[in-house]
Amino acid sequence: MKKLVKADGWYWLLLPLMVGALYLDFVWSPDDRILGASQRIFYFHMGAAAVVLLAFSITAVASVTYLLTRNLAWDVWAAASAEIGTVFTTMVLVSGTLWGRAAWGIWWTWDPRLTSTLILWVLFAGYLLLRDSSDNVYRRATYAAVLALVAFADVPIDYMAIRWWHSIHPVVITDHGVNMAPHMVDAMLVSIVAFIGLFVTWMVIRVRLLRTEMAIDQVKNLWRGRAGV
Amino acid sequence: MMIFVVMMAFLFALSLGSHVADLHAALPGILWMAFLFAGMIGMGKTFANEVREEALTGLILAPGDKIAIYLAKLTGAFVFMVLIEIVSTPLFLEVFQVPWRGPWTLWLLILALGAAGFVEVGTLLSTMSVHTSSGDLILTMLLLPLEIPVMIMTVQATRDLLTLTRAGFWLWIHGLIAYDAIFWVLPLMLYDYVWEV
Amino acid sequence: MMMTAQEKMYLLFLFLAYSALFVVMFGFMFKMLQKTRQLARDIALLADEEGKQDLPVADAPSVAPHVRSREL
Repeated sequence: MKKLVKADGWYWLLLPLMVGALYLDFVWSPDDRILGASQRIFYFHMGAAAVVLLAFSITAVASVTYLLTRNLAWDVWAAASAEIGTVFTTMVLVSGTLWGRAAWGIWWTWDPRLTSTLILWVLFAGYLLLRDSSDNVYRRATYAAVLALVAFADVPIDYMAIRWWHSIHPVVITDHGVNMAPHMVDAMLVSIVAFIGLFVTWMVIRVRLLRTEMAIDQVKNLWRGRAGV
Repeated sequence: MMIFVVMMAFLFALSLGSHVADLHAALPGILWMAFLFAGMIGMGKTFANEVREEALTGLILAPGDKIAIYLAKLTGAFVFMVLIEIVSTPLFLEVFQVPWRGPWTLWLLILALGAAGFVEVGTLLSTMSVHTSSGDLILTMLLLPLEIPVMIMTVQATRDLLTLTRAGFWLWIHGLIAYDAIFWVLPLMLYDYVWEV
Repeated sequence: MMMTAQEKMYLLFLFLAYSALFVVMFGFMFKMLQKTRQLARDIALLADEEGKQDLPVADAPSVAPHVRSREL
């Protein structure tokens, strides 16, 4: 057991962090004057949204680096980050619709923010589909990288949508600081950190798995070459 | 392709019934849906023509910048789409009994900007889909979400033009210009990589 | 909108439920971390052995070259 603890020691930080964040969100943070308890969905929503921004940025950077260096290690990073980012986008959309039902009385509306987030989700779903269907590893990596960059064009638009256009989505972070009660800000920050911790763990798992897949392919090819098939 | 669009006009008109007020409200969306379908069929063919007899390899080996091939394909698809739009727009207006409103230069502006948006993304993606297994499916799956912004903006601009509301119209036109600019620059930077494989 | 005592209690239950869910997930992720670590080690070993071994098949075919290896 001791050896196990040592192997991925940093991982144990996630347990108190996440439970602490949950405690802050559900019990400690003050009630919202207008929204009441439904405001607490926001911590989850914001945490997931921060991870989406981080994940797709990593995908974009890794994609550019792959195109420049042609090193498949970067492709692995881009793929893992895009997969997890898509999952977190789903979480953002689901928690957003729940909150929208409570705050606006409707599940969904074609608001700029909501639309651009949905487009982002569909684009990266397409990205994963493209990764699934190509045969040549290098070609797949190149096309995926190109598509990731095209899809990433939507991320800044999504971020700025509530600031450029008249959106009904609330703007929390403005030029004048964070638009919330101080206790809520604390709870939000801890949630974001906890979600990023979750993301990091998941990334480690995915990257290791994808690397193993790649290595198995290499060993297989080696054997085939040896056997002269 | 022209016959296809004509058939779409009649099918839409028939399936929506003959209630004139409904038809008026639905026209902008239907018009651009028809263009989207026609454009997608056209774009799928952009590179399919080159698959036979390894013409694609010949194109790559030809002297000159690869970007020239992209620009040529882009121009071809753009001209094709604008022609279809110019010919079929009056037809749609006639079939749906919507009076012709607004100066024709603004009509041309929307048609050209919309076509450019569709074609820029479509050409890049169809280059990729030629090389992938089940490429047609991928092309459709990726093209549709990427075209959603063009769709929203062109439909809204068309609606504003038909109802003669100026302020909203220019907002959508600026959006379209921004979208066209982004997807004009991105493929130019990325196209070399798509061809290398 | 102030919350009633009952609502506060519900929130506490929600916190406990989510924490329990997370602990389950935490355990699962820990298992996955261990497993991927193991996999990475195994594949490194395999690749290592591969480098050392010298298979005679490729050097000197014992059958006529036109015979497919699948029929060997």
